[in-house]
Amino acid sequence: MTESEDRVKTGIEGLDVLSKGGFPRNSVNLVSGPAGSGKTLLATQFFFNGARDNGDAGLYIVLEENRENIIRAMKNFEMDLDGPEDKGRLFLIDLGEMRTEQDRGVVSFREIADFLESFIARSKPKRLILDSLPVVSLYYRNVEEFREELFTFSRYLRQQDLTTLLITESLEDQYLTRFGVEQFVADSFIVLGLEDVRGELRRTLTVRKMRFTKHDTAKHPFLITPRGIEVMSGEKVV
Amino acid sequence: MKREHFRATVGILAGGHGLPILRLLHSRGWSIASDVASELEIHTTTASKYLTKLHEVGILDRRTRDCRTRKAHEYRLRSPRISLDVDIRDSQDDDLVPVCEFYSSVLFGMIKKTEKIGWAIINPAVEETLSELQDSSENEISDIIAYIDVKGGHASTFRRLREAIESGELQCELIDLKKAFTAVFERVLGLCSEGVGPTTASRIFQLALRTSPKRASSLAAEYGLLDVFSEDAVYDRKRG
Ligand SMILES: Nc1ncnc2c1ncn2[C@@H]1O[C@H](COP(=O)(O)OP(=O)(O)OP(=O)(O)O)[C@@H](O)[C@H]1O
Ligand SMILES: [Mg+2]
Repeated sequence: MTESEDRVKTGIEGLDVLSKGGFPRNSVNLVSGPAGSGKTLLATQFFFNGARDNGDAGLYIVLEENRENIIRAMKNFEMDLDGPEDKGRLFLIDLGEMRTEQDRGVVSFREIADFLESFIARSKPKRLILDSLPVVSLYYRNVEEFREELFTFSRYLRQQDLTTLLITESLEDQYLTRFGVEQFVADSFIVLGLEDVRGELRRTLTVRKMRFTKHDTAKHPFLITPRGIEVMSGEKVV
Repeated sequence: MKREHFRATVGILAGGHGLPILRLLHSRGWSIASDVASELEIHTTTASKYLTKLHEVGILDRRTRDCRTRKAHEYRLRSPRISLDVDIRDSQDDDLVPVCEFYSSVLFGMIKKTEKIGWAIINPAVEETLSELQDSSENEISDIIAYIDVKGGHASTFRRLREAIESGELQCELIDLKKAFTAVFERVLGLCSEGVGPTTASRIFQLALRTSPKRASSLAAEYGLLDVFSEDAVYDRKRG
């Protein structure tokens, strides 16, 4: 396999440099960060760029926000879901709409897998984004149960012909991930940071883990420009 | 007497406390629920429930009395003779329109929901499958399906069905509606299942049911309009 065949480019400036070519193909990847750190933006770029640059069909599962908000946010960054890049390949699915009072207001990994089973067969997405894990976690009684189901779910995902990006969150000054377990099931792990530097917010990105690759492990600053995230792969934050 | 009224009347009279309450009111005259309750040694809420219903079906008169703390309803028997004037030739025809409303609202509730979750490709697929179904069904069923207007949605579909039934253009029985829409739901559920999986499909269906008009839903329960689609049945069917 050549380098480009076994990697899936995010198309995000700087990030593919740090990861030496993108996510491993058919892997399960994780991005974490505090609120407003750019997780959804990073994920929508991975989703959209796949169709734009590689013709990859993509499936973005929204659980947290509503669909319209994501569409609007994407438009702000020159990502038009009805644009020529789409060609019926980009699916933004709001499973949060499926909530009922009876099921404690959330969907489980099993239900998402059941959904994927049919959806993959029919629409053949190559990229999958799940936004976000903490919403799914509400279904489970405790972290152990959540971890177990997440583990089963990611094993299922690796058997599919698609590259997944899971989103989780980190709470201020706590674990790198909401539950402290998500990064263990993932093949790669990107941490976004928001730092207060003399009253200004600085955005940072670190590739903490990337299986099968020698990757850059330093913390890098990034900018949000009208074209989305631009990671300064040549600069480091110390 | 309308069928619904007849059902309610018979239902309340057949209840264990129906006749005793009427006899009591016959001898006592104006009474409130707690009087009835203590005389018959039943719970006040039970007495109150019976009194309200007997009033609703026109067997009791009601007036409001100011008590010290609140208003209370007093009841008395309107007449010691109760007659049921029922024409058994009254068919379920009266209910055909609300049944259509129910079916149409559930169908389009499902379509709306799938659009909401972002899986809009269902629309042309539904149109296609309905025209297939129309071609392959017996006349009674395809006649009904012809009135479903996928593009126009619930408002248009319901209006078309209602006008057709009221004008006599569409002559059908409840059983035909049931058959036609069962076939439609089977197809649409199948489509959803294929696209978004049986669990999500079944949820879409249940959610659509929940948003259908109240009056229509109670008819659905009464006539077993969706008996083949119990929550488990939907799930099992799609699981194969
Ligand atoms: N047009 C823009 N230009 C620059 N920055 C923007 C623009 N629009 C949004 N942002 C920044 O991007 C951030 C949004 O990032 P995003 O929604 O991806 O965060 P998130 O990590 O997913 O947050 P949450 O945990 O709340 O879901 C905003 O907090 C804002 O600071
Ligand atoms: Mg977000």
